[in-house]
Amino acid sequence: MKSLVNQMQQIQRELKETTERYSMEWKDRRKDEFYRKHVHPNLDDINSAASEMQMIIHQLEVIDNSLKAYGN
Amino acid sequence: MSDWIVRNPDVFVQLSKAITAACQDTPQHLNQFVQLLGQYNEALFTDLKETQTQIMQRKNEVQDHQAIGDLKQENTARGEEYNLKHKEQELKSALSSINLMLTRMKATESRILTMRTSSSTGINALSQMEGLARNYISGGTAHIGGNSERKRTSGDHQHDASNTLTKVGDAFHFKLDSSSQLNQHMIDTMMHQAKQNNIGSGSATKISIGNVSKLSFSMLEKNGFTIQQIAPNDFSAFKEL
Repeated sequence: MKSLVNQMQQIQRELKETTERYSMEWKDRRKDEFYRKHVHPNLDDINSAASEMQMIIHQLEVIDNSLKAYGN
Repeated sequence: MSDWIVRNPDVFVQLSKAITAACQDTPQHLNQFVQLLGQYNEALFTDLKETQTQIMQRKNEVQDHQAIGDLKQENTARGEEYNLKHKEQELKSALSSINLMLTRMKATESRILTMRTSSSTGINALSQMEGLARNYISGGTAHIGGNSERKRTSGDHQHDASNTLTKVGDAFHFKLDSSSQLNQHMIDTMMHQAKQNNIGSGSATKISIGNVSKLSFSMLEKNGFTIQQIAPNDFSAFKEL
């Protein structure tokens, strides 16, 4: 059974993959105004959400390890 | 809006799908993440409550062992109580951190949901651009050189000026498929295409239509074209741009 932290890592990875695919679809149009207006802000938001998730996962790993020390 | 050079209007569909996928997938990912974080929070809260009960149990054990003078068992229970109290503090601190994480993630979730709503503007724009591109093609788009000429379909107008626009020297040339009669719409379309493509250095100064029928002479002259005989039964019409 996967731990909650592992499941969260999986979601974070999927989000990163989505962002990378999204970014790739637009790679030839990065200088376009449409990209700057509609796509770039979205990518910024998604990347920032993915980074936030990564930070949370790291903190949860620390908490997890710390609480594991109380186990047998 | 800057210029978009597309080889196929399907590109707008693909880009639109990419935006839709990202804007729909991301809120789902975030929602799942927030739910798991909530589950983690609940698990720790449960652990905290259980740990507090365990602390009470150890306290009682300490008193019981103290009452019967069992120093060894009393010290063991005291050690366990100490560890549990330590764990309780860690759990309280973790819960406090996770509550902050949850608050932050919910704010992010809300921002991403706003993104999904606002992305509909971009998706609509792409859809409109696709429609314009398709309309432009079906309305008789011609391309200068390149391999992007489309194939004719049975639905095409028999006498449109598509796929025959070329630039030679300082003139745009349309070669009509047949010598049938031109209409005003066809002339307007050709003029529009010529003007649209007449950009950059070495701009054309003339538009020339080849293979014109005698039936089209008056319409062409009305539009300012000069008729030119090229060979017996072979006429062209030209006009300065």
